[in-house]
Amino acid sequence: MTLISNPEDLGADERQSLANWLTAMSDTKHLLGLRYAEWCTGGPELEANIAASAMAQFELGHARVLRGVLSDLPEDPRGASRATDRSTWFSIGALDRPFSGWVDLVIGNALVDTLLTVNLGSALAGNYHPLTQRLRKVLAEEEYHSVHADAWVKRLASGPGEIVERLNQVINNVWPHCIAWFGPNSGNGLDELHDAGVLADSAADLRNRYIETVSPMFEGASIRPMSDLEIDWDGWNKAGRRHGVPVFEDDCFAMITGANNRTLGVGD
Amino acid sequence: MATGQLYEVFARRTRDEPLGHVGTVNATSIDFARVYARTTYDEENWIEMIVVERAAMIPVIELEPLVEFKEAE
Repeated sequence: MTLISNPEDLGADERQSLANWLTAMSDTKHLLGLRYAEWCTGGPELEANIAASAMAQFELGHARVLRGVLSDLPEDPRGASRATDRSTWFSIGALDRPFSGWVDLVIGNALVDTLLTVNLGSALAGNYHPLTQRLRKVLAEEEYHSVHADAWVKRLASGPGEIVERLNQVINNVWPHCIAWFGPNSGNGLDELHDAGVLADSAADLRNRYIETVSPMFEGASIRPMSDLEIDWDGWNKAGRRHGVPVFEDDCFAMITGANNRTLGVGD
Repeated sequence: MATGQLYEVFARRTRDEPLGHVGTVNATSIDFARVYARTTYDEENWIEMIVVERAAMIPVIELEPLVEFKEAE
């Protein structure tokens, strides 16, 4: 396989697809880092707090790595309006609102973090050198996030009835966002990257790999993500990989854009 | 939530240094112990880290207690 080192060796449409994918990946990691961080003193045990804090730091670090690759593309969609316009953020809808409890954090870890990891694994096997040279370390760090998710899902699934019921609710809320992320059968933005060799897998193969990756976490439990989900693609946005635009609360939007610190001369 | 068990954490930075004790974690399973050890003691670029359940450790010379308790007469 010939590696591509120069973005100009990709066509303009391919670069646009790559820029959109990198924005969706890095924005989702940024939001996931924020959501983990909001719970880094609220976990059920001190070690869990430390783990949430460490995972938050890794997610923000990974967002930074991906944005470094993104900023080399002329098609980088992040413009001046990013600080004021929520529609310029391509994060997954499941992270629009804060986690309301530890169960939400665990399912965010199990379903959203794993979705990103499956995508990055496909990019590591792809041909875009600015990504492949950075992703091995990122994926090594993600191994512990997977172990964390698996251990917590199994622990909560064997807990009291009300915890299992809450698990089911959260899974059913988050799962449609994750499946919709892969897009419809055509015009999904991922197949274009697969055709260019940037991703080693097509959208359908990626979605299947994702389902195969998360399914073992739920084996033996009375909970599991729905397998026969029908997605209504009306209003699905290919660039943002989601329905609609983010509806972050104001505090969250100010936090991720650094809006309250503009006077200090720092920002995104 | 279950309170878990203590695991001892050992790690080393280079091949030519021995595994050293870096601390403990409280965990309800081996998987939690692995994750918690990794995230709690991440201040170094370790090349190896292991956890051992404290209950699995076999004393050779037992530490004598600092204070001896006597039954009340």
